[in-house]
Amino acid sequence: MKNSWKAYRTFASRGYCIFCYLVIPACLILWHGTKGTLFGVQDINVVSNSLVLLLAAADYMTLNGVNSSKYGFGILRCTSKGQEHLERALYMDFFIRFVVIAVIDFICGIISYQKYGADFNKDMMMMHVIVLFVTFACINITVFISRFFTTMVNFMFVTYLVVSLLVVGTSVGLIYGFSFGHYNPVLWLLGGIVLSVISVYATKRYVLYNYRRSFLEGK
Amino acid sequence: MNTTPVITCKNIEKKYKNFTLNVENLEFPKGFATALIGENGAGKTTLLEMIAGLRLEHKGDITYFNKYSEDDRENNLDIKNKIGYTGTGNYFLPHWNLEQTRMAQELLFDGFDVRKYDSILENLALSMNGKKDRNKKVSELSDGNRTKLMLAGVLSRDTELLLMDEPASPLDPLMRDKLCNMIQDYIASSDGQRSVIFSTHNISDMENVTDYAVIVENGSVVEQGFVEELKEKYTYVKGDIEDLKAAEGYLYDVTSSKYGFEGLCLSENMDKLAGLNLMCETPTLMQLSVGIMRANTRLGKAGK
Repeated sequence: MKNSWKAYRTFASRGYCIFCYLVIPACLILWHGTKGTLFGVQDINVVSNSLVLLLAAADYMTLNGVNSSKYGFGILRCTSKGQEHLERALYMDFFIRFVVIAVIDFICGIISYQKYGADFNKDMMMMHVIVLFVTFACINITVFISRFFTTMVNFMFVTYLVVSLLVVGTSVGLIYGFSFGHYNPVLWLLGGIVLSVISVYATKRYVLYNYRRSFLEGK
Repeated sequence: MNTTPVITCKNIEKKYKNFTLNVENLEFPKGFATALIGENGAGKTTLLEMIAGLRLEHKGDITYFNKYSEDDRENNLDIKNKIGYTGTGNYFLPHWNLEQTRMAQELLFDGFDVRKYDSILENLALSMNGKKDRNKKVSELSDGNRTKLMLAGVLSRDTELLLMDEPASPLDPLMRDKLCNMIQDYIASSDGQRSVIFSTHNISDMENVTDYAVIVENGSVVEQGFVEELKEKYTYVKGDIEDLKAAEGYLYDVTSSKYGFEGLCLSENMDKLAGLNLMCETPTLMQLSVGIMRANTRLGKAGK
């Protein structure tokens, strides 16, 4: 675990960690606790959408371009531990992302419970669990695509585009479905978990494929 | 001179669209510093990267430390750990700061000596003491400082072979001199166990440290040997322009002006030049390399 954290830190600077894992969560929780009244008890969706956008955009500072065929793995290719190092960093990236989303989700849940009391029923609790997996999957899907783009302009364009599509799709589905009774929590939960697992698997697999490809020319 | 090879390349072939690297048999002696010399695009980097295991697709075999194959290099963690490589591209990821480069090397290489690393960096005037220094990004460093960072990294490890692709090019003359000392110290510190292979265009600056030279042209090794033996094999001759015609046929390579000519001659052919008014000298490595490269180059021969 310690080595995985160290491997991750070789990609994520201290500034990045502070920004993504302290500043962003603090701001979102603060917003949720003080201002969040857009969708009332369903405000967690707004927090989730913001989180998808911010964490996906911040990925530019860590593993940007790692899926691109032009990515230079540099020193990682000069050692037999390069692949293992990359794998550890990726797993830690997933782990921290999941933990951060879970913590924000949990604290926002407590805030909602305090604010809305009886309105924060079992269905809302379930929604918070769904939001956890959906948010995690949406970020993973976005970074999987945006990591193919190395320049800031292309990266940001693709990130905003993918985030917009995913966020509109999921939040409209969730908010609309929940409000008008067309909402199957089990299906949403299963969908979120399946998408999370697939996105983790695909992201890790493609980065390692790209790493191995860097030793071969013309592929 | 009888030596054990640290690296043996046999029947290496690597084809590109307009270029083929073809090395039939090449041995780099153990315990010495070998310079890989050749013009741009001759195949030096390709060869070094193949040896370092950064280019896996090629024909032929490379043997490491006289016993390990390329498969061993990939499967046995120790072998790659014994090899230090510094290249010309992005060795450290550009967005890394100095702190991250240290952390990464500590994780990636067994036997990485952090104290030695800091001390070498200090010695090379690349301090990591202050917070500001540690947070400096690799992309903000000059080419020379990036090379220093790479050198400090490989020299802080417990390696037996250093592969360096043009380490001298981005360095200032003072630092080149320091580089030569560092290479000499590295080899001297191991009782013949450590070897260095480096490519260079700065032949004069690196001559002091070069024991063995391999000259590559158009993807093939055109000359190789210990520098002292090569200096015996060839003689550098200078003569008046009126002797050029008589001498030309026996010269390995020649350049002329309206006043005279100079060039390389195989020492065994020197008796054929007897009677001509020539000045004979032991060639420098620079004269040797340029002469051999010029005799084998495709430069200026296009369409001829």
